[in-house]
Amino acid sequence: MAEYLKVVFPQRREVWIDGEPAAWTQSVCQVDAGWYTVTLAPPPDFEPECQRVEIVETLPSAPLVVEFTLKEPSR
Amino acid sequence: MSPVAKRSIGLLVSLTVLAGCASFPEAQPLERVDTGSGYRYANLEGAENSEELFVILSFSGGGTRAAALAYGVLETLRDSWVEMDGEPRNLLDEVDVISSVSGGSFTAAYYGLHRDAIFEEGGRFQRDFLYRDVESDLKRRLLNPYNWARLASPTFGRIELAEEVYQERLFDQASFADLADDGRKPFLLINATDMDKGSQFTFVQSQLDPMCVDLDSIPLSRAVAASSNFPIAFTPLTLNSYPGRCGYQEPPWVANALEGLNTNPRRYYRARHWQRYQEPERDHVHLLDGGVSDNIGLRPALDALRAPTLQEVEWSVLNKMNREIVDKLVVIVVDAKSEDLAADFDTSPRSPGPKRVINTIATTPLANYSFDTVELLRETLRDREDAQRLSLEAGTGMHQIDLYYIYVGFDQLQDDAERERFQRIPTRFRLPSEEVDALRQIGAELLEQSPCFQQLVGQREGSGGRLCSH
Repeated sequence: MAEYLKVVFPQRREVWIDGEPAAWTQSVCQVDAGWYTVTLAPPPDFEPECQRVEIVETLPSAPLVVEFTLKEPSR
Repeated sequence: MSPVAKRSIGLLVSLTVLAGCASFPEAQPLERVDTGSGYRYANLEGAENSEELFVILSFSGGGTRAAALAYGVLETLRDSWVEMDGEPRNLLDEVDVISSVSGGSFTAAYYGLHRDAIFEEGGRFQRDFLYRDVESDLKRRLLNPYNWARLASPTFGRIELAEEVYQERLFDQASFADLADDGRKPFLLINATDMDKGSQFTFVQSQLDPMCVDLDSIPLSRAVAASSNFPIAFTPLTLNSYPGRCGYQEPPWVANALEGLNTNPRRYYRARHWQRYQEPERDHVHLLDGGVSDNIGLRPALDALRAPTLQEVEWSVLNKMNREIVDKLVVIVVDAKSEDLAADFDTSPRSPGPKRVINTIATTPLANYSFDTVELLRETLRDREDAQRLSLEAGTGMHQIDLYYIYVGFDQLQDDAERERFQRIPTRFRLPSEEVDALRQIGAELLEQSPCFQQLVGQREGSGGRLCSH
């Protein structure tokens, strides 16, 4: 079953799924239904470090949205 | 003791010793998993073969009938050009992956090894396989008393004799190391069936990593023999396995997939099978004809269209689509399926005999599964087209890919007599020359007449994310 994921981040960056490059931020990507570990390509200036999500019952027009934000610069 | 008796005993002892010595050729252990070496898709980067146009061929089983049909398709691709970015590109050079089973594996493997030499009129492939009575070669080897002694060994079977024939006739000592050294696509997926798991077994290094087996040590002839290992006629083909001895690390997708039995059982079982190759007591894998698990050779393409990471399927085309590497995807299915047109049970009240019942049991589930496999591919591509359209309308930014599904099969023939003629050709490794010629010709014609193929080679612009499916 095709499912859909959109990773949101303020910059265009590669999305890593299960430890390897798999898509781009801000674009909907297609995956197979199930659990995945999602993170972004370096530099590690984002948080959270990674997110484990179950992707089911999505549509291309209503994908699962996973958000990463820029880390606050350390003081 | 009489001299005759002494000689007989001596002969018997010699044969027993010989039998004890005969064994299948052992695959060598992999010292360490290294994704930078071995026969892997990522290690075959040909500059002349871009991935923006991604072409997948699948060659079905069906003995020489399938090999010749696939050959005709290759001949047409060799003579066809497609325009990408204003540059003409040869379609055969653009083929990225060939997935094959059984008879189709002979054509795929020989092309992968020798490239355009396969097309030489009267050349080795034509002379020693396509137009040859290979069955007689196999029978001669089987009737040789020297081989009777070897066959008495429990680790040497009829499939090893077949492999010797294929090695002598077609592949010499070539191994997967030769394909890897060449470094050029297409990436060959020679498929067999794992008897224990009932699943497809593909001769690529990533499949052998959890077994800690070095694919480079396996002769190409052995992979083709496994792929065309027709049950009962041949014995199962055995591969050594050395699980736990090469520092293999299970990829992250396996743990994730194992939590999805109910949401995605297909992925769950792929992970389960993957883990079983790592079980320490499994020192051997036994293989049957690839057609037992998928007689179209299409399942790897379906997996590659579903799996989002290259660890899960090392040439995941979905991964390349999501990363916006692929702009145009072409899947050409070459299906040499036959039909039992002689079945006339329903014209009589008499119950069909056991031979016909056994034949039905043996062939009908496979034929139905093959039909569903082809339909599943078509549906998968149609779903992608729908997803691209919906995403475009919603502005969610899915990469738009032109999709082409091209089916080359006898049921595409309009003329009843012509269609039945091809569907009646038996699954043998021996066909009359005129039938091989006709199969080559019809393979070429069916591809050339496909509206989607005509659109592919005729158009200059993309089709705007649409699916062409004829």
